[in-house]
Amino acid sequence: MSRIVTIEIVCRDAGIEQHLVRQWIERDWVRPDPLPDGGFAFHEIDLARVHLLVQLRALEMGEAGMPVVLSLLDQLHDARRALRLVREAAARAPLPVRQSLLQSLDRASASARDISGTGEA
Amino acid sequence: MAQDPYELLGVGRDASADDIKRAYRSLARKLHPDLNPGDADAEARFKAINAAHGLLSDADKRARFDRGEIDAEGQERAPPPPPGGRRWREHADGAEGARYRWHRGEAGSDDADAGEFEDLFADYLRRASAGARAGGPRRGSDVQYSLTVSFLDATLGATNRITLADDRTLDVKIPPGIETGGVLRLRGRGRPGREGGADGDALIEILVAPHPVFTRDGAVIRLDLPVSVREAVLGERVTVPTPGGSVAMRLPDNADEGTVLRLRGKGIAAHGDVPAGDVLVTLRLRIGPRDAGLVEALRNWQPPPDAPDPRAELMAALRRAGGEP
Repeated sequence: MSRIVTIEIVCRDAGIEQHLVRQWIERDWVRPDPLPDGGFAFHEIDLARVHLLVQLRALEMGEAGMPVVLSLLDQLHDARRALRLVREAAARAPLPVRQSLLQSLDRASASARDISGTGEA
Repeated sequence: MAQDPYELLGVGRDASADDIKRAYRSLARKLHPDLNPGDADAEARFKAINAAHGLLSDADKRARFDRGEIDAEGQERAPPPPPGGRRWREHADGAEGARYRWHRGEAGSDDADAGEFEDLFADYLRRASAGARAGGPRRGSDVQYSLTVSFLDATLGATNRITLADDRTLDVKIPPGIETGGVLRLRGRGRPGREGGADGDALIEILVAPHPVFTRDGAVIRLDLPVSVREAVLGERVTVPTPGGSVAMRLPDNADEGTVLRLRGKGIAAHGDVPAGDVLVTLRLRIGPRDAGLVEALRNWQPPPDAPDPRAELMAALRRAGGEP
């Protein structure tokens, strides 16, 4: 079962100040559920996000670099989730469909090799 | 940071409830502020063992502390992060990762083309599977209507005719017991589908008009019924209006102002597996014009000495509130 925690617990858990987390929320880097009383409900994924930001900060990622890294990271995970959906859909498809998918994938990767092989640079 | 409550009380983690109680009592006797006046250290320790005892004497809290769910101060503890940097990746690649979907621009800015990546994929696959057929079968869209029904129709059920957007008329069956905000879905009565697609639905939001006499209270209908002094005192038969028509009812011997009587099955009509609801009748005593005969009769009447004081409850409530006049 997933747990929901408050900003106080997030801060204690991650060892950071509240104002930092609030700043991240304002910048949309962390997206907890807003509560009617002005507080926030953090799900496990939000907690993991805070830990990720703490780790990136520890790498001395500058304020300016952070949005760039986050946007690339988020796009990467978007693509991975989309790919997973396609993979799952393909796995559920009937055998002939899967076989024809495999064939066209083979053809596509072969032609990709051809293009890179001709030294198109 | 609070110390470990087991250490504070000097007991093992497997100590029984009795062991804990004994340890707490012997420490409390030693550290009680009354026995150590002015000793700040003893006072602090006394507070600490009290808190420790409070936590460990509550079996539920103790179990949660042992499992690491709460700390020594009884505060919720965040689940410990698993080792390694795999955590964010696990979340981000799971279905819940959509929470952190990338979108162009700042938060709150107008980014209508926010990267609905999964949707794009699904859309692409749908189009591809539809092949050469342009568009393909499409379900018609739903159409929303609102319909005001009378209180009695909503209580007893009825069929109302409405006129749709395209001038067709439609008979809507109102189920008994429907309340304002209830929505009826009429399958296939929305916009027509395209190329063999199903027709959309008509969604009819119901507004129940108020009634001058009856009110709805959950599953029952309420009614205030004025009765005369004679009817109430002598327990006479009175006529009571109900949604389905008037019924005769004999007032009970002890009928009084505010007495609530139940008329079974005379309220919301039976529907599905739900039996017919009740009408709750609240008696309202009306003295009416002072008739010489009544005044005369009361003047000659002496209440018995042990008659209850009608204001006894009121005065008792005042006394309880500490505001006796």
